[in-house]
Amino acid sequence: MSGVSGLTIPRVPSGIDGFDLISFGGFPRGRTTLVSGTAGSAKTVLAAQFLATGARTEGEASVFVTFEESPADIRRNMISFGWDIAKWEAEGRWAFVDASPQPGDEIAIVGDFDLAALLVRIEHAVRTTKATRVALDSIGAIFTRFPSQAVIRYELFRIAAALREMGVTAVMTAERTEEYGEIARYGVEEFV
Amino acid sequence: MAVRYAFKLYIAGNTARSQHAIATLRAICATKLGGQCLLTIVDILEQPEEAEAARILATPTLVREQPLPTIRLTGDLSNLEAVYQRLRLALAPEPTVSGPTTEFAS
Repeated sequence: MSGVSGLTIPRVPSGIDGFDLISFGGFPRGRTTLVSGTAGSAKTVLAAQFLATGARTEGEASVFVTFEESPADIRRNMISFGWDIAKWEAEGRWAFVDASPQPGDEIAIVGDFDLAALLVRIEHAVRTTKATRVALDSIGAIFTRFPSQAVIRYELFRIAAALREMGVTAVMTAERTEEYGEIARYGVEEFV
Repeated sequence: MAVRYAFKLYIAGNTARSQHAIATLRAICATKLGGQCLLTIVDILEQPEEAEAARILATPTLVREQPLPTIRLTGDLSNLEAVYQRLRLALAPEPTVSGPTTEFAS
């Protein structure tokens, strides 16, 4: 591969060979990258593989913030790829922040709010595992659960800033409705 | 004496919004619930593991633990009508008995 100048941001290998090839090495280190795709385009698998690479690397650990699927479903689905997430959890190399909807859990808004608790839980998981990689899958799900787009957008910005502060490399997944055109369903995520 | 109502209020630091939620909750207990409330305030900045255990995403979040069923309300309680509706409280105030018992989880 031709040399890229020293002015570029260092990369963290995702462990997905094809992606690491076309991205010149992986995801930008210490930054948050938005990965957007249509429904069923395997965004969750990409995020999980990125984290699995971290869980298997000495000196790294991973946190998966899940807004849609339950941790139990993710463990079940990913075992077929040979990723034993439960084992990594037991070893302290992987932690879930379960932000998925609970049965009967309807969000009742009765005033002003922020997502400070989500941020605190992410920070707590990163500190506890000494995580180097974080995935947030998928942020569209948090937009649909809470009515105020402006609040959610601002809180995601705060979370991205905090992730940068913590020095982790993060991937945020978002849904898009078509292969081309608007990058993400709510039109706001790409500005976060 | 068994306490009839038990609430847990999750807040993020001692902000104006947190204070508003606490004050509103105390007022509701005093005027609507006959003061028979056990209020526990949890500051998730001090106790992130409490937020994790209860799967809290937003603050303030009010959880009514007693009576069942458990009810969760998101926000600083400034929309009183919505609060009363969710907790099934009549809009007219009920006679005040004694003040609520407030505990700060530490």
